[in-house]
Amino acid sequence: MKRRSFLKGTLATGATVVAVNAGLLTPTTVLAEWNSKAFSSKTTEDALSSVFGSSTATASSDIKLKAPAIAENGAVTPITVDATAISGVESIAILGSKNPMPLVCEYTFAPAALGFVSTRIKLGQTMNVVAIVKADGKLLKAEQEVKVTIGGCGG
Amino acid sequence: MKKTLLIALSLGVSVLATSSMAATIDPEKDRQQFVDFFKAKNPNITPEEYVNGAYVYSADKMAQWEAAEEFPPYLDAIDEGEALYNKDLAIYQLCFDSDVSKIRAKYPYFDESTKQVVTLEGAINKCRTDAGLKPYGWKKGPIAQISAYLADNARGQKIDVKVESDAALAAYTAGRDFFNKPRGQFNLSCAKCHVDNSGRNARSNTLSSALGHTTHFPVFRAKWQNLGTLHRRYEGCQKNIRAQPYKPQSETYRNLEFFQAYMSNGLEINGPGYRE
Amino acid sequence: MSIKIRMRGKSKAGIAEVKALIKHPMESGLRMDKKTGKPHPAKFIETVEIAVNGKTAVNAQWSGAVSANPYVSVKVNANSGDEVSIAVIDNTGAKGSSTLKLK
Repeated sequence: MKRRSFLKGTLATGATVVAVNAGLLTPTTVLAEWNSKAFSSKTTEDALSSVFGSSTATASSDIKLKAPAIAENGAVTPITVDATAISGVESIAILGSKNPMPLVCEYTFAPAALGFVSTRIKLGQTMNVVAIVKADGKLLKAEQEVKVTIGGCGG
Repeated sequence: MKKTLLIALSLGVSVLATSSMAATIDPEKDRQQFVDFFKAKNPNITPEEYVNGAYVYSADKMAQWEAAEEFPPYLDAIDEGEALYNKDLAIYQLCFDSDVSKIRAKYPYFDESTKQVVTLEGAINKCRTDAGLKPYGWKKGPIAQISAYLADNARGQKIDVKVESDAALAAYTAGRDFFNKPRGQFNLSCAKCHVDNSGRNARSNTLSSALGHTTHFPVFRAKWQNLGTLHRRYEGCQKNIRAQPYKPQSETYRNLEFFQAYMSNGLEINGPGYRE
Repeated sequence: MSIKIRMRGKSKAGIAEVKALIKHPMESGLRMDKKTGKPHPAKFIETVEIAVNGKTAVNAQWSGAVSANPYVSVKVNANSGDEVSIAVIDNTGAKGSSTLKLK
């Protein structure tokens, strides 16, 4: 809760600017409130409730979710969530439906940032990768199955 | 056309593997047959593209590989290799060209005086021991990092291995025989998977083609989450097919590298590379 | 020992794609150490902050399910000459940061 309101208003304090110039910019303790409840949730619904207060999301074709059909290596699966077609994107969360703790990562955007993120995540088995986009107070989602296989002769 | 080439290649190979008529082996003819075989097998893939390994066979895999190569994890290794190389620069300049971009493409080559195939990693360690320095391990770590630094500086240069004497031809033939000989619990030869069945899947791994096999080493394997040399991979693959591996930089593996590199003559060096 | 971060970024028509590659094992705390029979202790980046000219643009929270040696790419409103910076903290308190002047 503190994290989001910090972003909206009181962000670019003089202290932050000085810190950058001194090469010392590091997340302050106010920002670093890691949402351990969300990250230890064992279901997608619980994780989303912990992050957004709700787990109901509407499927949206405006979210471009790029994920491989078959992951070459489940531990390094490249995922891109492009919600730039949607206005007012506040945050994006990426979940792995069958990971022991589904919530993988969550991004919050100030107006200076676009609703876009590309990263590499760990998928423990074949499952759906779920991208949740919060825009204008509403939750939207896109998901895709990613097959994760055991290696063959490559070991 | 395809079947004839297939038969010709496997027949030609098995005949020569058992015969002692080494004089009839022509590396350039082999290589041309190799390239023609892959061209016939996949008319849509040009020989130059094979430097990208198994990724040429699947758009899904290629997209994942491109995502990784966009900001590849081996960048640190290249920097570390550069630091290591410069640390002992005085020593290395006694053995190698002062222009680091001119080093990688020279290897492997056949040394007529010692009658042995010399690999890049072998040359690096020999340079060290000749100067009284401790040699590096053969599979990963500093040797791979320096190899990565030198490969990266030679990116785009063409592989040009020469076989110019009877002794060199013997080494080439030894490598070729190894490549074609079935071994291990599964009785598989390198050729069986990486020529006959390249592009097909062994369980969930797509088999890469032997054409272009050596161009991208040292390799950052997602599985290892670090860099490894060609001989590390030879050892690993042999273990995968339940065959007794040889020692990295043993004569057997050096001859194999010699043969494999020759088959990739004309292709571009694209190491270090990211692979699964 | 601070966490090493590499950055790349280019601005085009006022939008910059900023990429970062971070050297970090990202141990989730679930992976078993075969030798000890116990899990490798958790060591993963928890918070990531990306700023443009000192003003925070993106805040992220990560779990151990983000890949080892993590890569992240975001898009921000920024022009050539602007400074983009990234700062990370992991669960043990280790920190890392890096700044890039956009081309």
